[in-house]
Amino acid sequence: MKIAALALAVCVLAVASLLFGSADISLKDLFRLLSHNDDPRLSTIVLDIRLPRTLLALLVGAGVSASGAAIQGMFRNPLADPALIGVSAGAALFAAIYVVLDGSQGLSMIGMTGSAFVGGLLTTWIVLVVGGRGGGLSTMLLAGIAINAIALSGVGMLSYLSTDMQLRSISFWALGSLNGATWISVLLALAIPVVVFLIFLESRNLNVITLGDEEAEHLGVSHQKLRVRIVSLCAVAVGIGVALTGIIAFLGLVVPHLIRMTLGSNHRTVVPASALLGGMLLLVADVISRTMFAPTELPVGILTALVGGPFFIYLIMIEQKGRLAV
Amino acid sequence: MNLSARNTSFILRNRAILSDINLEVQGGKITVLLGPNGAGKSTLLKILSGYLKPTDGEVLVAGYNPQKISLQARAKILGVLTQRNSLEFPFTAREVIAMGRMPFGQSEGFDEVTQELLSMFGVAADQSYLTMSGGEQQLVQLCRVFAQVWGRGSEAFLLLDEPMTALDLRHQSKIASTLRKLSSQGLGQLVVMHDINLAAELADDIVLMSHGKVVAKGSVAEALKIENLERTFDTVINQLGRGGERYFRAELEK
Repeated sequence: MKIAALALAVCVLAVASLLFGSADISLKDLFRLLSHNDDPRLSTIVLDIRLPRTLLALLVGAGVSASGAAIQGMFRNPLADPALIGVSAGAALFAAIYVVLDGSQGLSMIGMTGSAFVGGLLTTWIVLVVGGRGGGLSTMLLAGIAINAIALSGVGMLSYLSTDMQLRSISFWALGSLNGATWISVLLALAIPVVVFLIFLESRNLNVITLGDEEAEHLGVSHQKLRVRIVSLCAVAVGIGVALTGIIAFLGLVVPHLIRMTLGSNHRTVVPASALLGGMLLLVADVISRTMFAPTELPVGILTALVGGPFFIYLIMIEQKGRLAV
Repeated sequence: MNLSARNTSFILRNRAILSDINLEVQGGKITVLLGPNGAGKSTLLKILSGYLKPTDGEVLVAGYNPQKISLQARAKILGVLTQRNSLEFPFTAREVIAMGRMPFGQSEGFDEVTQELLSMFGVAADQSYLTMSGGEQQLVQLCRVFAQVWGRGSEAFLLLDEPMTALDLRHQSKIASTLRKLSSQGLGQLVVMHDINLAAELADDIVLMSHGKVVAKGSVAEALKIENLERTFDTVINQLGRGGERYFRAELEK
C-alpha cells in the first residue's frame, strides 16, 4: 500500500519534472504534445532533453538507493554506503585515467562511461578478493576503505598531472550531473531495474544476514555466497549509475535509512521502497539544481551532499533517542 | 536420532581449544553443558552445529556430517542459539521470530508457529527490537530458534548457548518448561548453562567441561558430584540439602 503510494508519487513527480527548466513549458503544452504536436521545438525540449533526463534520474536514483539498502543489510550497519565496496572511487579513477590518457578535446561519452563502469567493477572485485581473504565482514569493510583511499589518491594524482581542460572534465564528472542525459544513456540505465529486481529477490536472505553470519548459516543462508551476490549486483547497479552521471553523494546512505525509520526493516519493503524514494529524490534534486541558478546548472551531486549531509545528522540524532538497549 | 561428537579436537593457532571430546545428545533428552568461562563450550557448539570444522575427529547429526550437507537441509534439523547478538535494525519482534521459519519457506510472520510463539511468551509482536531491553531481546531470539524446530519432534535438535542470559525468573521458568515440553516430543537438546542448580533441575544428562576437555558426564546424579564440580570450576563448592533437594553453592573467597 505504502509502496503503491510511493510509486504514484514517482509518476506525478516525473510528469511535473517535465515542466521545469530554462524554457517555459505548461501542462497544456504537454497535452498538446500527446495529442497533435505541430511544434518541433516543444518535442525537442520535452522528448529529447527533459524526458530522458527524468528517466535517467529515476533509474540512477533507484539503483544507488536500492544498492544502499542491500549494502547496509549485508554489512549489518545502517550507516554503510554503497561507496564502501569501492565502486564509486574505482569508477572515478578509471574515468580520470581515460580523460588524461585520451587527451583529445571532444571526449567520447562511450569511452568515459565505459572506463568508469569497468573501473567500478574492477575495484569492487579487488575489494571482494582482498576482503574475502580474511573471511570476516570487518576485513571487507577495512579493505573497502583502504582501496577507496588508494583509488581517490590516484584521482588526486591524475588531477595534479592533468591540463586545465582535463581537470575540469574530471572534477565535473566527480561532482555528479544528469546534464548529459540522452536516450542512449537511458537505454544503458535500463539494466538498473533488472538488477534492482535481482536484489529484491535476495530480500529474505538480507533479513536473515542482519542477525549475523553464523546465525544466517543456521537458517540456511551462506554468508559468503550472499556477500558475493550482493556486492556484484550493487557494483553493477551503482557502476552503471556512476558511469552515466558521476558520483551522486549521500543518496544510497540516506534513502534506505529514511525508509527503515518509516516503513520498518523488512528488506522486502526496504529494497523496492528505497528504489522508488531514491529515484524520486534524485529527480527532485535535479529539478532544483537545474532551476535554482538557471540558466546555469549546479551539479546535482553537490546538492545531494549539501542537503543529505545535515539531514542525515538529524536522522541519527532522533534515532538514538528512541533506542533502549545500546 | 542422535547428535554426537567422536574424538573431536579443535586447534586454533597452535592452541588446543577442544581435545578429544566424546559426547552424545540423544533425541528426547536435554543434555546440559556446564563449565567455567573459556572451557570451550561455545566452540563445541559451533562444531556440533557444523559452523566450524573440527581439526580432528567426527561430528554426526542424525547420521550426517553437518559440514557435508547443504545449509538448507541442516537448517531444517538444527536450531541454534548463539551467544552473540548483532541485530542493529529496527525489525519488529514478529519479523525476527518469523526468520526462524525461513528454512520452511514462511518468513512473513503470519504463520501458525510464529503466532503461537508470540502469544505463548506474551511478546509484543509489533515492538521494534531496538527498543527492547536485553532480556526481551533474548526472549525474541529464543522464540526465533524455537520457531525453527517447533513441531519437528524427534526430527530435529536444539543447540542453545546460554539461553537464560538476561532473563528474569518468570521467563527462565517458562523457557525451562518449554524445553521440557519439546524434549517430551522427542527433540534432542544440548544447552550451555552457568546455573548449576537450574541445570540439575532441567537436565537428563550433564556434561562437565574444563580446559577443552570433558571432566565428567552422565546422569544428573552421576555427574553433579562435589569433586567433579570442584575439579571443573577450580573452586570450593558446598552442597546444601540432600537427594532431590540438592543445592550447590560456590564458597566465597576470603
